[in-house]
Amino acid sequence: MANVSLQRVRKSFGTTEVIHGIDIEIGDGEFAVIVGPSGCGKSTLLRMIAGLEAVTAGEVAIGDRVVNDLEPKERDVAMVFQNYGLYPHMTAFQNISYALRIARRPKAEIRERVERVSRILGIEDLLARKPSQLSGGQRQRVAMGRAIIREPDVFLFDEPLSNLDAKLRSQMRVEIKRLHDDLKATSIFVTHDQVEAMTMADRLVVMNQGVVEQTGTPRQVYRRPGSTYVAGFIGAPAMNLLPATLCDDGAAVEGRGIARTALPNGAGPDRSGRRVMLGVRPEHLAVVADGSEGLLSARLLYAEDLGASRLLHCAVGDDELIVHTQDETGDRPGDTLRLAADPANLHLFDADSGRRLEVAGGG
Amino acid sequence: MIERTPILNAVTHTVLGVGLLVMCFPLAIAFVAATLPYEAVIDVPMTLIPGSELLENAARAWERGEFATQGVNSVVMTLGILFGKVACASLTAFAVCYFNFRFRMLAFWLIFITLMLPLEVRIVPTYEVAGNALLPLQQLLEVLWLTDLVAWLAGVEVALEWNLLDTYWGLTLPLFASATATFLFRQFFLTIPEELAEAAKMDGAGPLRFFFQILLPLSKTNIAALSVIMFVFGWNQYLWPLLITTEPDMRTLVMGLENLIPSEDELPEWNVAMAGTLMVMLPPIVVVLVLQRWFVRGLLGGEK
Repeated sequence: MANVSLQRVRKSFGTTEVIHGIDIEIGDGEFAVIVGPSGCGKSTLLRMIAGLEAVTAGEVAIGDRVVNDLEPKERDVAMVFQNYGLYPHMTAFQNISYALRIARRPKAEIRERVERVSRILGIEDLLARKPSQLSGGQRQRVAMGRAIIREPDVFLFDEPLSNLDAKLRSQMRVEIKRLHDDLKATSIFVTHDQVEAMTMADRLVVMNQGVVEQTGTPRQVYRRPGSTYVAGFIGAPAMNLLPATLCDDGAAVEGRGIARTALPNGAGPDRSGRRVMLGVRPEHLAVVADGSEGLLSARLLYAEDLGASRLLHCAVGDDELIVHTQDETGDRPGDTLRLAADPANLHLFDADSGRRLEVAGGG
Repeated sequence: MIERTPILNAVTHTVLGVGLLVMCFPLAIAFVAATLPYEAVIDVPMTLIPGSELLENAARAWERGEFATQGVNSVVMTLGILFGKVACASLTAFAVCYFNFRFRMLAFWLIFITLMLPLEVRIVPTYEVAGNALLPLQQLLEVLWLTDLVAWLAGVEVALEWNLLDTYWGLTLPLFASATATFLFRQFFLTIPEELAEAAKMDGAGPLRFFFQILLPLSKTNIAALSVIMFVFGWNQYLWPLLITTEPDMRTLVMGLENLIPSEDELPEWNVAMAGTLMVMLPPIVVVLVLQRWFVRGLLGGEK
């Protein structure tokens, strides 16, 4: 087992730089999830850790070793690929044992280890089958078996669940997490799915356009998003962001459709009149009775019924806003709703840079 | 697409039928001639009803054409070309697809361009090289003054020579390179997901292991398809064996047929010549029939 450390890592393809200097420290035994939209460089980063992609600048270290110039097989890492990358002409047994056979381990040991791994994954009965005779979930397990059997220092997962249907995906999510709890090996999991990211990570790394936007536990990232980008990416439905202005020397905020609201801990006097983005999560907004004091008023566009709760899509001026509520209200599209939120659940971001302003209490 | 077009169907079938007749009529004549006794085959016009002397004619053709020796030569040459081509082409395509070296695309296009230079076009230089397969190396050494260097250092004159005339190497080696086969392999390798190569890398497989344990097993159908084409190609070689062999016991079957064709001062025994022709045609037909399922599958590039 080992920690993984990236220092000022950069990657260029030709003259285009796709990763602009990344520092990440992943502790021994941690389950780190790198999340970001497609094209943000997260897979490239993972492939650099795996050794499938050369590092242009900076340092990748696993344990105490700098591995920049080591071959993948010398790094003691195993990878689960998005499309599984199973060898089509080999049976599940042969697929799982390939690395051991290359390493010329004794036959008995190979058999014993394959059996142990397949027991963990519940694929004992499938070992004689070829990948084409397996379902998506079974292939996924075989691919995991191929990684586990090598007992590597670090597991790398490259969007391994994106080819599964929704039900299987949530099931595999739990299984991978449970497996990690058993094996306790450092794992790095790349995904574009924020649900996977939130549920699986010990440490969350949010990437955007080749840089790390924020790292932290899922809770930290959810409670105190570092930028409008992270705020919009983590959490579903996404955080509502409305343009607003600071007033009262930065002690309160107001905007079009937004009532003047005092912030729990005020900002400095120079901040009066500063343009900001006011963020509030759909689940932190509540519909209150007409006439009572609220944060803002919005026009209901339509309501989505999810069964356990409802999503109210509303308009505030030209901006759209979503309210996630469990209340049964009889509102019709076109009605004006009065919405309230605990000021502690308000987030402020700089309107220009999108960075978080440490004004509103979030933690 | 399912359409009802009775008229079009009729037209297509007519065209097909005519084509079939045009293709098969000469074969039918050859077959009929091969079954007739000498007296019947020189009748004008020749009858189109098969006779009963096929085996006798075949036996005489076998004897007269020295098919026993030539058959061995043909088989060795054909299989040699086949294995040489598959080995060369798969390795070349592997290099072009999986290794990122300088001038990679240039190398590929150079190979591709040789499609425009079939053996017939470059037969004279090829013959010269076959006369001494080490000639290019010798010339290279001379250009680099290495021959002089060795002569000066060791007092030995360097004269490399490897004569391919009248050898199996001569029959096969110059035909090893094949742009078509390389291209076919390349196109197939491009369809293999990159993840497979990466997974193999992670599992600790080196390039050669990846090639032999993963790429080649996956190319089975492809190789089968190629083998069919290359078998027919190799078997039918005529010009090159004619040029490179002078000894009678290095001749191939296709060349041997020439012996069976009656010349002016002989009896015009076309029945024997045709029986010989039929026998020579047989192996490629058998190969195509046996492997046609693989052939189609390989060219269409489907696993199932």
